[in-house]
Formats: sequence, structure tokens, C-alpha cells
Amino acid sequence: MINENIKFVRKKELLSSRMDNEIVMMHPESGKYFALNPVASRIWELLEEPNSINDLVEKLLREFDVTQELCKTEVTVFVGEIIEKKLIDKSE
Amino acid sequence: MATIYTYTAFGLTFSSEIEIPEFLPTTGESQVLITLGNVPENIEGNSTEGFRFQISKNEFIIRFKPWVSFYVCNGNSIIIQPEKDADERDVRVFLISSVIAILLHQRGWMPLHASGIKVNNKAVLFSANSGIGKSTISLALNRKFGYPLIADDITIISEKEGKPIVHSSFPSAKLWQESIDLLGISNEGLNYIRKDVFKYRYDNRPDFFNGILEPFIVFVLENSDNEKVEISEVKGIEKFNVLRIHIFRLRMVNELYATELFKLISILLNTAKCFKISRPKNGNTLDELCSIVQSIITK
Repeated sequence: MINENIKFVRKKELLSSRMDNEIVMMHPESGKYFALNPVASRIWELLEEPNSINDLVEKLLREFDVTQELCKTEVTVFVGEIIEKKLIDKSE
Repeated sequence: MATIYTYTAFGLTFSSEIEIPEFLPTTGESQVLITLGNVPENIEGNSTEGFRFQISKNEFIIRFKPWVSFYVCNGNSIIIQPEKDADERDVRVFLISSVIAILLHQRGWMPLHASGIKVNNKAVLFSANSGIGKSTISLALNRKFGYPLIADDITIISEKEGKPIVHSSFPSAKLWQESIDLLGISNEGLNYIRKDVFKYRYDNRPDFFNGILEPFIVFVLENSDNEKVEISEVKGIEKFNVLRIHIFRLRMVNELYATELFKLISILLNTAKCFKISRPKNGNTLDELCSIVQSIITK
């Protein structure tokens, strides 16, 4: 499990671009693309600054009409995925 | 001293030892030198090999056996080594398509597999795989509504002060007999693009616009099994995906220019709208296609 209070931040070298309400990003070394749906795109935007899972849930609850439980589950899954794909770092 | 020809094409000035009648003559200082000489055996240092070619970020060698080899480097030089029996048309067909496309990649620009027209000082592009009809639609719109032509097969996207710009290519189209029939053009006096390729070289000089434009709309054309022409606006990430596959010679350059291309697609699609048009594989839908496109660009 990911510690809910550890802050994460986007990797600086990633390029990202907004297309309407979705974000596409690229890892310049591998040339790999990642596409984010609108909610994931919002999380990605928030990760421009260091945020923990708890921070993200708190902020998203103000913007989206979801229960805290569901929000936390989805954020945890998404953050897990982008850690695995090496798109974010622990914030120093 | 051999004659040196100076041309403008793809937003660049070329100084060439071979004549390229497809390009527009110009004068002034050139950014690219095309010379006849020896193509090196290999690229030194890190490079990737593919079918008939070797590539690194700043160098490219390709051998079209038995006709001609090319060496392209630093986005500013092309060396041509023709074989003994090379037909000059063979040399030029490769030069003004794949070879120059790699030179443009080396400059950090994006060659798109697209034809284009000028509409109210902006560029409307038609992107598609070969044989879908990008040349034909541009020429048909030119003949019907008078829009000047800006490119036939490769359109260049680059960037200026954070904004995307489209460079015209050169005033010549490649047309199969089928397209010539559809457009009602006469093939009298037209040459084949190559000795043994029965596609015509069609000069459209009076209808050509040479210069820089802001992008307006990109239409991506596809064949479909449906009976009707279908059109839909592409939004979000799909926009990115439908356009990326039409970068010219993307497979050859693979990930070498990934960062440059990512940035260019992004700024292009943040400015231009993108529509996908599916047309039936069989039957003549050219008039219908023209009406649909005309209604979107004049909206």
C-alpha cells in the first residue's frame, strides 16, 4: 500500500499537453505516450505541486460529486499506476 | 563549374547541383545544399539500421538499389550518389519525398503526410495514407472553389513564437489515371513520375500558393466499408492519435525526434480543429466529399 501522506510530484522531464479536457503526455526518453481521462487529467494537474493521496482526495472532493470512499479508491489506484509507470516521484 | 540551381520549397531555400523542375526557382541565400558526391558507407557512432537505411539524430543514409543513394545530415545537406543507369526522375522522386522528409525531421520540423489548400489565409489539410485521395480532394476543391493549393503529399508544420505554422511545399502533384479521370484533367503532355511507375506528375503552378499560413482544420481521410460518407469532429486524445500516425516516415525516424514531434502535434492541435472523414472504398464520392468539406470550412 502507498502511504497516504507521502507527497508525490510529476517527473520534470515529462511532456504533457491538454487536448480538450484530456491530457496526453510523453516520456521523452522512451517516446512512450500516456493518455489520461478527464478525472485523471485533473489529478495530473494537481500533481504539478507536491500532493499526497490524502491531499488529492480532499481537493477532488471539492470539485467532483463523488463519495470520499470512491474518490480515495480511485485516486489510490491511479497514483499506484503512475508510480509503476515512473511518471511521478516522491517529493523531497 | 557546374550550374547551381536555387529553389524554394517546404519553407526552405535549396541550392542544388541537380535540376528539380518540380520546385519553384528563387534567388538568395540557401539553407540547404544538394550536391552530387559519394555517400559514406556507414554512419559513425550510434545509429539504427532499417530496410535500406541507417539513421541517427543528425545523419541518414538510404540506398535505393539499383538507382541511387542519399546521405542527409544536420538538416542542411544532402549528398546524392546516382548509379550508372539512374533515370533522373527516379532520383528526384526519392529526393523530393522520403529524403527531404528526413532532412525536415532533422531540423525539428514535422512533415505530415497531407495535401493542403489555402482558405482565407489559413491552411486546410487533408491527411491520409497513400491511395485514399488526398491529392484528388485538394485539386477538386481548387477547381470547384478556387482555393489555392499548398501541398500535395507532404505538408510541413513548424513553430514560431509558440504558435504552429504551415509551410507550403511545391507546386506539383502526383496523380494516378483514376484521379485524372475524376478531376476531368487531360493527361496530354504529362510525364510519369518515374520510368516504370504509371503515376503522372501534374504541375499546378498557377494555382499554387507559396508561403506560410496559420493552420485552420486538419481533415483525416479514411476508407470504410460503409455505404455513405461519414464525418465527425475528433476531440481529446483521439485527435492526437489520429494525427500522429500520419507523420511522414514516422517509422523510419522512430523515437529520434519524439520530443520535437510531441510539441508540434500539441501546438498544432491546440490551434486547429480536426475532423475524421470515412468514405466508401468503392464508388465516386468526390463531389459529396467536396460539398461536405466546403460546408465545414465556410461555416
